[in-house]
Amino acid sequence: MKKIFVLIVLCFMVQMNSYAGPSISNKFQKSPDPEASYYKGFFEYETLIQSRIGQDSDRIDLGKYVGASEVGNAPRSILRLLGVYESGASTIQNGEPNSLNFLLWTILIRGFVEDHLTICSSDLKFSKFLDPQYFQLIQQLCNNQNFTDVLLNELWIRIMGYDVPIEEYDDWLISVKSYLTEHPNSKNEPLEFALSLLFLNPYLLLK
Amino acid sequence: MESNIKRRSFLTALGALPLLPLFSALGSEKNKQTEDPHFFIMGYLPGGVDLTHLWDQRDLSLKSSKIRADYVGEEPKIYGGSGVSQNTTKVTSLFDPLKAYQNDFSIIKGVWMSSDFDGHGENQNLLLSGNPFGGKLFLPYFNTNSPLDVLTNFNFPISLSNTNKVVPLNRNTLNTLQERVSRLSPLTTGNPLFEALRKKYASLAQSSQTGSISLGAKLLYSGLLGQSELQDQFNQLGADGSLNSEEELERYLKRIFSLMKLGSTKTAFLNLKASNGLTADTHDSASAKETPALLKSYVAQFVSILKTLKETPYDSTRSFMDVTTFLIGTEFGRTNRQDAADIEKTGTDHNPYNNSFLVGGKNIVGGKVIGGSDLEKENELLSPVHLKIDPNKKMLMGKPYDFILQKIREDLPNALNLDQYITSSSLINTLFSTFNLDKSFWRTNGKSSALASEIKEVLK
Repeated sequence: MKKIFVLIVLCFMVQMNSYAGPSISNKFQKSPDPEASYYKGFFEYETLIQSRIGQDSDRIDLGKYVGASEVGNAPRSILRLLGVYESGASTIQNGEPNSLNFLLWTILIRGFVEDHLTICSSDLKFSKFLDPQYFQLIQQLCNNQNFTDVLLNELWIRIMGYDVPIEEYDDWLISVKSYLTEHPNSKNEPLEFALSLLFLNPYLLLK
Repeated sequence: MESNIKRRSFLTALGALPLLPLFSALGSEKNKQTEDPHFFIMGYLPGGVDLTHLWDQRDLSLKSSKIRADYVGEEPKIYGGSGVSQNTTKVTSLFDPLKAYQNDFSIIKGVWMSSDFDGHGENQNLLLSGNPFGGKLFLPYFNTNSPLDVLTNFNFPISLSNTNKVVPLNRNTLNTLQERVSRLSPLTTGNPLFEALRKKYASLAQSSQTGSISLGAKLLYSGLLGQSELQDQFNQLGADGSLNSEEELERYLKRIFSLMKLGSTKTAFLNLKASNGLTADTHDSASAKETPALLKSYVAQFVSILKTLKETPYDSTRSFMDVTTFLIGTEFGRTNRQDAADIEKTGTDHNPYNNSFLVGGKNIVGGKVIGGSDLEKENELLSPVHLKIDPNKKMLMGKPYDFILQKIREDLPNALNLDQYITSSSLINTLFSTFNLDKSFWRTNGKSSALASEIKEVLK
């Protein structure tokens, strides 16, 4: 009985392979190395951000920044462009970074960062979505004078967590401080710059 | 002369050297409009639509003989007219709106889909990947330099791979995206965030220590460089509006053409739905009786596609019809009737042995009818191949085809050899031929090791 089952499975596999057709030569392979990191995907990214800087009562809705939450103009399908796991699929769909999904990620992140900056103008509407300690940290960083190593380190850890190489933090810190030096009279732009650079960091965006 | 090059700028430029091939690849995108333009559009009718009632119709005598249900209910006429190759093909009045465009397309009839499976999924997979169990979607093969492979309003089955640059961009998504992009300040060269991200992604892309992140960062780098161009492209798209079905399709197509012309993509896949909510999968008699209304709706959409292709200029001398190859069709045909059902009340089932398609546009000859199906007369002698598969004569079946002489064979084969029939593989290989695609992409007819023959008669 077992032999018959194995034989049936083998026949099925032969049948499948018979449809495979010729292999495609490497020169036409446009996909990158299959080992390349793909996006975490929209929902995993949103969950991660929520767990690090959000609070339980009012959850952060990142979809709204790409127009996916507005009633009447709410094509949730746009989120599929940011990488999603379709039901039953083992690999992420639309997860390979390209011009279009990167454009969408920048729209999302820049909108999210823009909301952060409302805190600097004492608009507290956005604060209800944020963990109180994170909110206080952002409030402090609204003042460029507070861009100290201690507070910047705290911001890094809040958003990036602990599983990113330390060199990444060093690079980011240098970039932020360079920005401050080159834009001495800026208002909230250093915070906008620092946050955008964090939220678009490959270790956060990619798997 | 004092040098203005700062040490940091120099080091940044030096660091970017290994990424020069990447710059070069993106640069070639800028030149794509100077290349010979060639796009591809596929219009897909989900559910298995009985297109025989349009352009492969039988006389009403087959209905009176209780062989074939005919809810159109009219005596068909021989398909002809200026520039159209004459044959025995018969069309109904449902076909009339297409006559104005009959030299812009050819009809491929008698196409065999899967000879092993009659399910929707298997035949959909076969059409799109060449394998009933799924595999690589063929449309991305037509893309070479564009950032996106396929724009579509369709959710491809998960059994199809090769879809990472397939963008599900339905009309609403396109509108939302355009609106959001228009609000965004450009992230381009000189912008501090752009420069910092470029530096970050470039350094990670070059790092040999970071494995898969390094490869992902390379893609992010490419995405970063390409996104500002794409932002420009979206900003140049015209405004959309609230329109009825055919006009909506035309508007959507024009916006897709704009993105093609701007270089975002070379292919689009349109999932066409009957505007009146009718189903193509007419197993029940009530649905089958609505076949004329269903086909009327689809013909209106075919006309919209053809009209938009012809009337949308690509440049001062060419329309999109001149630079686009198109294919319109469904996953399989349908049976003439169901067993034991009254011929006046029967539904129709799946028939993968006789499908038909419209092809046209760049590198395709218009006005032809290629291939054919059997059971044209009630007393027709059918092949042993037909009778073995369909002893109750419920189906039309594609006739064997001589790919050398390019004509239908009238012999009645005893054994099935798919290489002697027009199949979905020969149809798709014909499309591959219009793009001069390397033969390593070409399909076989399943168990055969030989590449399925292209249909030369339809090629320019």
